Amino acid sequence: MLHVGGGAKIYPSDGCGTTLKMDPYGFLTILTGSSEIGQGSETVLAMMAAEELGIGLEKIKVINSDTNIKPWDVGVHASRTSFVAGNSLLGAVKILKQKLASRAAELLNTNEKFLQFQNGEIKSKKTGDSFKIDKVVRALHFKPPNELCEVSYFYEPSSKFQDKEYKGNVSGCYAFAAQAVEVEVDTFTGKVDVLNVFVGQDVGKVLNPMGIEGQIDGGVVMGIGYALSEEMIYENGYLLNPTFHDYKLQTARDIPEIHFYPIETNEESGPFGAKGMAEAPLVPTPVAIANAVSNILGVEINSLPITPEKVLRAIYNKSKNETA
Amino acid sequence: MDFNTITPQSTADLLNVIQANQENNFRFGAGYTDLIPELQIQNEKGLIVINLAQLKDHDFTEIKAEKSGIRIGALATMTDTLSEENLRKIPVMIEAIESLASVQIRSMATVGGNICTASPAGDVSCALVALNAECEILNVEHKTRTISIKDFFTGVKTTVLKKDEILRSVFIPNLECANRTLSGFIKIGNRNSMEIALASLAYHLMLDENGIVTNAGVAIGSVAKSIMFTETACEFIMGKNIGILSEADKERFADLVMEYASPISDIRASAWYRSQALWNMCKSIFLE
Ligand SMILES: Cc1cc2nc3c(=O)[nH]c(=O)nc-3n(C[C@H](O)[C@H](O)[C@H](O)COP(=O)(O)OP(=O)(O)OC[C@H]3O[C@@H](n4cnc5c(N)ncnc54)[C@H](O)[C@@H]3O)c2cc1C
Repeated sequence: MLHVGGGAKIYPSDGCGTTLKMDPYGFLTILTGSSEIGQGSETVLAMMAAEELGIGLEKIKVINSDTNIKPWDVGVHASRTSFVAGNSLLGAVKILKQKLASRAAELLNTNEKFLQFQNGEIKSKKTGDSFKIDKVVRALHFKPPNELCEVSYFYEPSSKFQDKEYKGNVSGCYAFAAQAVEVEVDTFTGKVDVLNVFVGQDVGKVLNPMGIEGQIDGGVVMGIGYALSEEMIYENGYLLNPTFHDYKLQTARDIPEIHFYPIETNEESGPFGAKGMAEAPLVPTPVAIANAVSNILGVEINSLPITPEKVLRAIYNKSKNETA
Repeated sequence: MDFNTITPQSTADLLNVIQANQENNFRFGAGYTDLIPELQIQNEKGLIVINLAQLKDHDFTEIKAEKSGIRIGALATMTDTLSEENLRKIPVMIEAIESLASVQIRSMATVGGNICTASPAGDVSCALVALNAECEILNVEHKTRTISIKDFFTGVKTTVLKKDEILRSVFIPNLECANRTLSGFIKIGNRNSMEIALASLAYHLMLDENGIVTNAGVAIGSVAKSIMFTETACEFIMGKNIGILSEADKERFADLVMEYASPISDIRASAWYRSQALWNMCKSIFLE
């Protein structure tokens, strides 16, 4: 299947703003438009900044979610944060580096193009001389030009707002995914147990292996719930199962082995080659499970969730039809 | 939710507290996994909770092997019960406990609470009904009476307990006389934990060396106003050799069990499903 990998322009802007501040001790604050809802964006944004500026993660703080101070963003959806907020961050880092490099070049008596950011220093490749990054910040602030080391940047993906027919180039890039599942059907109760899920997914470049695995696992688990148990049941407009007592999420005991095979491609428009990847693992899951169940039973169940009752009914109707 | 608690430390204290509150509205609290959710829904005014959590009396808290069976204190938790070596011989009990809620809830939930809450979906209670367990009840005069768990439940959330009584322990008899057992607990639900049974089947058949049933206990849950002991199905299977049961015998057994079921339809499952799945499960136990 195909999924958006670079956000989705379902609003006239799908952009994200970033403000960066580096203080005189070399600590970097990232004020990002993106929110952290547990998906690990704080970590991945800090990793990107650390990589670019050659400073340690412990020197970086990410501030998000407070709309009083943070720049624009549309929200955590469309698998967009690493891609959109990542590109926004990299845009801001580029300006910050220019600012630091121009001051460092003066201090080191060299040309900006020979400068390297690594190990907390700005170093001349030519002479080998270096200055600690915090010293350069102090040189900017406490001496002429007396400037703070603060910059802002706004990134808008190349995508287009959907037309009236919901068509158009809605995302900054696209990603591909496939899943195979192995299921077991209890023909006495109709209960489906998923035994194995195999995920093959184009993710661009993997930025944080543990983070990406967490997103895949989480997506698959949601996909299994979507397939087997999650449903909002209405009667005359009233929701009959408004609590998690009756709205059934999957529990740890329901979760199979999830085998993840990242297919690494290099997405030119993505930060460090990465693509959005977090929703794609939940979309093929119910389809694969439904196909596996129909493979076993020889009948299709065409509504989700595939509850034990629907399965048992299908088995029952099939045997009735066969004997008739 | 607003209530006062009294926390007796000894049985003498406990009985005094019960006696002193005969005119008041009081409830016992053991692991609170049923009581608190219930009180959240119905806010009872002026309620007193007699907190059993700190009671220091082995008769209430311990699990003991006795001459002809095992006695489980009402305040023993599910986790305590699972780790009891002697209970390992009773798969129906172990499987019922393991099917209850989650590790966290099991470490709080007590066996006595499961019985006294008198839910038709009580998993451990269902196993205890199949095992023909006996409830030991203590009253304020420090006298005990024993009643079969089959007669303990009088309907949904109601029991034979009087206001001046408390459940002290439950006794599982007759464990020694089996050569082999066919024993297990089947919980039908939409997911594998944190589930209230749509229907459940607890069975404990004792067999002699040839596979002849010498003692049978079969109970069903979630398909009637209270947990049902399926007497006629048990009588039917007694004396039969389970190794060579005919298809007709298995169906007859399942039909007899189902005579005790009057399931309802609700958002979780239809009556049709509960009946059909339970009937299938009744037949399936002989596949082992
Ligand atoms: C999330 C969740 C999941 C659950 N899942 C299951 C499940 O899968 N299967 C299942 O069977 N149950 C389940 N339950 C219900 C509950 O956990 C069990 O019934 C448990 O055994 C109750 O024990 P307790 O000690 O918490 O009881 P309490 O809540 O303390 O008491 C329950 C009732 O029994 C009375 N009582 C307690 N002890 C005594 C006593 N010694 N003498 C007289 N009366 C007494 C109390 O007054 C109260 O009315 C679940 C509960 C929750 C919250």
